[in-house]
Amino acid sequence: MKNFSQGTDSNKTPNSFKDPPLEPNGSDVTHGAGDSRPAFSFLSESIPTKEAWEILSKISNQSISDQTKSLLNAIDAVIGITKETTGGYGRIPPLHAYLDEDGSVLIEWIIGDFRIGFNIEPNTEDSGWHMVSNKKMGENTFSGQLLDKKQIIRLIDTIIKNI
Amino acid sequence: MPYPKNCIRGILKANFVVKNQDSLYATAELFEFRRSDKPDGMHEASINWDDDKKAIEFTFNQKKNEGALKYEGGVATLPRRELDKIRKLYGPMQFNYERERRPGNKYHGNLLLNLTNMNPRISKMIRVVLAHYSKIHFRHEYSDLQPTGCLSNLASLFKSIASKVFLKKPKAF
Repeated sequence: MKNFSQGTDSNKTPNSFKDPPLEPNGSDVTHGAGDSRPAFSFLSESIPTKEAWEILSKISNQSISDQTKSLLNAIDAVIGITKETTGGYGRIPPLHAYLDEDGSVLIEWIIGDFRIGFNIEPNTEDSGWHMVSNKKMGENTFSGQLLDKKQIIRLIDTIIKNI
Repeated sequence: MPYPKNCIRGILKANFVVKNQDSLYATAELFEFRRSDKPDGMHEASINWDDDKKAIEFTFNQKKNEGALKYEGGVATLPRRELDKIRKLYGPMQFNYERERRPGNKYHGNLLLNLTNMNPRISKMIRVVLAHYSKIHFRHEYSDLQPTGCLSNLASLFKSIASKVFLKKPKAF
């Protein structure tokens, strides 16, 4: 770990990450643990976000549930596009999610020499992402908020294309 | 007594470790900090210090009250230099470590994290960092696997990602 770089917390719209989730068919997502996954479900392979989606049934806080769905929908959408263009999930590793003792959700994406974490908190301004890399990749640590959905999608897209 | 190069964190549950690409990785769930009775608001995560050649084996063999092995997932070792980097960055009032010898466990200590005053995004990031630098010593099923995996061809790609997404737009999030 060499560097810590953090995004700023100011000048953001607190609820911007609660925009309607990115889905290929543009449908709305309902609350709760119902079927809110994107339309592209590929039964022949294990979907990388499968485990992370399962955490939804354990979440009692509505804001955390909404943010988690929105994030997973965005990740699924990007993964789905990759799947359609490459014909498979390839080396995309699974996301791991769990409910923390304080009720928040932590989602981790462990990709060899680096890992990405997303923490989902009741207050959207406290939700964030973190990236940590090992010595081979510069021992960098970055973090930021989850408020700008376009940037998050861009981040996910860049990561997936380089796995 | 000076602190050794590594601390040891027992893995209470096997699902605190995940397998990717034939390698094992700790998740941040391994580093859950619990409220302590310390007056400074610090939460603690129990560790053993890797003081001698017996420390890891001792931790492997620690038992619950009823006699079953305590750490079904094995143990993880974590370099103290990474702890020192976090402590230096956030200050000892936010992140620290200590010795706390207990009867029957001369190695025992704690990682300390101030969850009372810390932004949750930062505290979660610290846990992700701790997990990232942990080396798994698994108990059984995966003994033939490499303890920590590397996808070396990602090195240059990560730099590319970092420069595109983060370094040029550090305030984007």
